[in-house]
Amino acid sequence: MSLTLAQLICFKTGGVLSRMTERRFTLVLLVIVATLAVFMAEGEAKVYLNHKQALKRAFPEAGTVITKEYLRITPDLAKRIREKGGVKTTSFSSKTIYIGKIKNNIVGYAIIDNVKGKSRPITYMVVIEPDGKIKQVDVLAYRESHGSEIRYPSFLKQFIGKRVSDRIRHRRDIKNISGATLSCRAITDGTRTLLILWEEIYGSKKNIENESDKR
Amino acid sequence: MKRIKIVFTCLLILGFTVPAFAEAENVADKLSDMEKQITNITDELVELKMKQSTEEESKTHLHGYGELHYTAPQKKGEDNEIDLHRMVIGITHNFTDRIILDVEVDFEHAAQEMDLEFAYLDFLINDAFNLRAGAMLMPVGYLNEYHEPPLFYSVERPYVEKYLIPTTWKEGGLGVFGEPAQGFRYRAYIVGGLDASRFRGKDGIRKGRQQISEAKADDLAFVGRLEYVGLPGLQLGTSFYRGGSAQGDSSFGDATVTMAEADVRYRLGNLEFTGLYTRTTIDDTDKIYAETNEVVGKEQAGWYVEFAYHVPFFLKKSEHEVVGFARYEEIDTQKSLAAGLTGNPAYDRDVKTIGLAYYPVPDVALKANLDIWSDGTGDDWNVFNLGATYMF
Repeated sequence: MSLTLAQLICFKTGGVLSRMTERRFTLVLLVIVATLAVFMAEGEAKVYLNHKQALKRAFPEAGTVITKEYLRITPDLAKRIREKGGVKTTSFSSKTIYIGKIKNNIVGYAIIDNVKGKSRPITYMVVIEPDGKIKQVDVLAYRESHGSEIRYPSFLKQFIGKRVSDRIRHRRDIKNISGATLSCRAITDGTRTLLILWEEIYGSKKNIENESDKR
Repeated sequence: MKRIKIVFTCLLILGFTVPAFAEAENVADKLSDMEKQITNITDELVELKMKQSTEEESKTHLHGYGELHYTAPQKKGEDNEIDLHRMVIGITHNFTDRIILDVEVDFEHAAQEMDLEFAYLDFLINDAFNLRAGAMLMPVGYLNEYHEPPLFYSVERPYVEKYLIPTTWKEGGLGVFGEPAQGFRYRAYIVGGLDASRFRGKDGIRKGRQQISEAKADDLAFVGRLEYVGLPGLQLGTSFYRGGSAQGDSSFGDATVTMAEADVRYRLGNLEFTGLYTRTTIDDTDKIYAETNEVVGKEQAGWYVEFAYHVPFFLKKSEHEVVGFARYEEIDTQKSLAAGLTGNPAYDRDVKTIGLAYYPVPDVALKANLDIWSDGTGDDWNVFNLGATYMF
C-alpha cells in the first residue's frame, strides 16, 4: 500500500495531536517544503564569514596592514608536512599566507584553507601568532547536513595556545562533539597540518636567524 | 616673426608643464588608490579560486562500514558462528550546497540479505530549521543514527539497543531538524507507524518495524529527539516516540506505542562514561495477545551504564589506541503485563560485558569481549565475541 497525499494529510499520530491540528500541521509542512525546495535550488553554502570578514577577525587591531605571501609548496615540503602531520591525504601546491603587521612588526599569520568533512569541503582559517602559538581557528563555510557544531566557540577555543609540539590530535588533545565526529577530526587534522606548514616556512626561518645570531 | 614663435613655444611648454607639476602631488595618492584596488582584486581572486576548487570537488561521495563477527556462546544447543554481519555501502550526493541526498544499502550476512539502511533528502535552510524527507533513521538513543561499528567498543551493540530500541530502526516520513540555540540540536519527524501484529514477548516492537517495503501506513507516528552538545566531550540526549500500530485492523484497538529515552555520554581525559535509560508502553496488549498469542509487555524498560578507558600507554607517539570497557545492562521486555497474561521470566535479562577494542587507525577496530548473561529463570551463560570492523 503506497502512501497517498490524501492519506498523508489525514494521518493519525496516536492521539498526540488532535485530528484538525494534524491536518493543519501536515498541510503547512507540505507548503513549506514545496516553497523552500523552489527557493533553495540556487542556494549556496552556509557561509558564516567571507574572507574579508575573516581577516578582520584575525587582525582586529586598527592600523594593521595585511600583506600576502604566495607560497609554492614543493612536493618535498608537502611530503615532510604529511609525514610530520600523519595526515596521508594532505596535498598542497600553493598557499596564500596573510601576514598582519603593525608598523612593520608582524602581529600574526592567517591561513585560509579547505578540508574535507564527510563528503564536502569545510572552509576554515587558522591564525598563528609570531611565536608559533595558535591565536584562533574560525569556520568560514560549512556544506553538509550534520556537523556544523564545529563552529562552536567551545569547540574551537580548544585550539587556542596550541603549538606544533602539542600535537593536536582528535579525541586526545581536542575533544570531540558527538554527531560531528568526522568534521571535528577533519578540522583537527587540518589545523595541525597548517601549523606544521607554518613551522616549516616561518618557524625554521626564525630558528636559522636565531642560530646565526648566536654565531 | 621668429620672436613670436619662441614666445608661443614657451607658452605652450608652460601650458603643459605647470598643470603637470600640480598633478605630481596627486600621483602618490593615485598610486595608493591603485594599490588598494589591486589588493581588492587579488583578494577577490583568491576567494574565487578557493570557491572554484570547492565546486570542482566531486559532488558525489562514497562511504561505508562493515563488521565481521565470531560468536561463541557457552550454552547448550547454541553453536559457534562466523558472520559477516554487515557490509554497508553509502552514497552522499550534493545536488547543490543545500540539497543533499544520503543513501546507505546494507548487504547483510555476506550479502545474503539486502536491506536499505536509509535514503533521504536534506533541504538545508538555516541553522535552526531544515527539512528532511525519505527513509530516515529514527532519532531514538544515540546509537541508532550513528551506528558505524568503530564508534562503539563491543562486538554487538548494547543489547538494550536491540531488544528495547530496535536498532537499526528506520521509517519513511517527513521531518524538521536544526539547532535553535548554540549547543542544542533537535529532530522531529512524522513517520510510518509500527505493525502490532508482529510484536513479540522476547523483543517487544523489534519485529514490528516494517522496513518501509510497501509498509502499512494507516497509523503514523511522531518521533523527536533533543540533544545538548555545547561542551566538547559531553552529550546529553532525550528521545520520544508515540504512534498507533494497529494499522487499520480494529481488532488490535489502537495499540499505541509510547517510548521515552534519555542518554548521557561524557569523556574526561582518558575515561569515558555512557548511560542510557529507555521505557516503552504499549496499549491494548490484551488485544494483541488475543490476535497473535504473543505476550507483549505492556511496559518494557531497560538501562545500561558503560565505563571505557582509553589506555594512555599507546597514546604517546602513534595513532594506535586500545580501549578497555565494562558495561552492565538490564533489559525487561515484560516489566508489566495486561491483566490475565503470564510472562516468561527468561525475558527479564541482565548482561555484564567486559572487553577490549584495538584501533590501529581511528576507523578500524578489532574487538574482543565476553558477555555474561543471566535471566529471571536463574539461568546464566557466557558468550565470547570477536569482531573486525571498519568505516570509511
